[in-house]
Amino acid sequence: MEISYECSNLRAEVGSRQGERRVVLDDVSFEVAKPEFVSIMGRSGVGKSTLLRVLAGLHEPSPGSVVRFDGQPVIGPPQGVSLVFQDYTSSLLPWRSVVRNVELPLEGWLDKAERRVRVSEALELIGLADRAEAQPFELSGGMQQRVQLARALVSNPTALLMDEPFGALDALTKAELEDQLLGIFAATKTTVVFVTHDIDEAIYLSDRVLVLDGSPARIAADIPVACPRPRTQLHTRESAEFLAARHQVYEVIFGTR
Amino acid sequence: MGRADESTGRVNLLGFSVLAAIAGVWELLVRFGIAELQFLPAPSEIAEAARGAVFGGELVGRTFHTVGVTLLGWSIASVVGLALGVLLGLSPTAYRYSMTSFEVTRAIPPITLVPAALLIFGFSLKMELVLVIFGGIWPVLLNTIGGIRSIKPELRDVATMLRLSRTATVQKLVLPAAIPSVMVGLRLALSLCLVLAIVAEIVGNPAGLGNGLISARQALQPELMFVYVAAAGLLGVVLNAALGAVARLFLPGGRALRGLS
Repeated sequence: MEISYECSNLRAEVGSRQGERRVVLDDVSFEVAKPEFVSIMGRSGVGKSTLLRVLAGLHEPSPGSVVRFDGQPVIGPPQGVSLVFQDYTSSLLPWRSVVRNVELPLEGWLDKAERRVRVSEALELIGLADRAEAQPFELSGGMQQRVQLARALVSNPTALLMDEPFGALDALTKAELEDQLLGIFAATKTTVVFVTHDIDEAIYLSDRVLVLDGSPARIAADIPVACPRPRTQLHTRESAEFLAARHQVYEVIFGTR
Repeated sequence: MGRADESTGRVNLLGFSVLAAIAGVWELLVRFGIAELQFLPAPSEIAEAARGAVFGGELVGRTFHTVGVTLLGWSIASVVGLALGVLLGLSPTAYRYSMTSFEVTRAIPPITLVPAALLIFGFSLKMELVLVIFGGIWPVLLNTIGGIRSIKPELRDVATMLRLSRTATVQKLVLPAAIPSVMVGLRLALSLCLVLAIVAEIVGNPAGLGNGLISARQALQPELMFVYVAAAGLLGVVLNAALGAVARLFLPGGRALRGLS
């Protein structure tokens, strides 16, 4: 089994406005295979986003932590890793059209003709080919999030990090985008690390669900999801494997109530 | 903040009818001597004087002077304000060293510098221009700094993830993101420059609409004075609308509107 991400003894602090440092993650150890879909679950504020930022190379962990991507220590954003933010309105460039937003990661290392080919492939994959010339503000929230996903995919990443990407969307759009993401995962064989606080979403999408708990947080449980792929909103969510995984995650987070 | 179709679309007839009604009441108050103010002319008298002033050429010449000084001063103020604003917005060091001076200088109402400007530059065009430029720099400067420094953290992360160089980050993300805020600054500055030009003409430089106001008062021609008042008001509206049109031309997609309507 090839390893995409490897973390051991990961410890991370965040600074508050008052200047004091707080340890949010301590002794976090896990591996993510290549390609694997892993969700990071936990209550809000537990440190899920900090963990993802460490993986993205945007947050420096404490000395002694081991974080490797493709065998290389993570110092700054690693090559081949794309990040999708929850807030699409502040992470898209509102002054650029859809095409020009998606093409941003390719600028500087591909010429215009090649960029256009790659961009239209990405838009095709995400189902936005007919809105290529639109401005972001003309699109619905779900479509804007698709644009962000296309921007993340256009550089053919080997790992996709997603920080509560569907958290701000309505339930129907969310289900639609979940299925689209599963399609992309199947088609591209990209490793996905997906942060969410939605238990059902985590199980529906993932091969494994990591539950973060405690303060400072550590991995409280590593729950495999046995549901076969391809998955469907109806059948997968009604299956015994899904319900078993759901039961386990609830027990870890809320105890046996 | 109005929508595009409200600010650029058809004439608001209801709004104009209210305006006409107010003018009508004013006319009646003066005609029938209900308001006994010796030097308050009726709207009809003002209109009569306006016709004379327009065809006499005096109004046009004075308007050209005021518009010219306003636009020239505003352009210089914008260039200086933008350049300094970009520098201070991007360089924390420059910001730390100079912000105190700017905060103090900015707090001075430009009008209080009129006597000093008069003393230093005399009753001249130079004095008028200095005052207009001084007043116009601040809104542009502060809004440029604000726009650059308040860039969303997500955009900074996007730049880091894409490993953009510092130059590319500034060029592709920071400056475009600051444009709406800069537009607000430019717009505020334009209105302020017009006010300051007229103030300078009233007290100092004997030219333009401001001087027209004063001359009309001294000549006891209140109806002509109100013509200049109306002209100055109209000028403000026209300049603002022109800036809006230019912005829409260069910044399509409604982004400029957030700063301009």
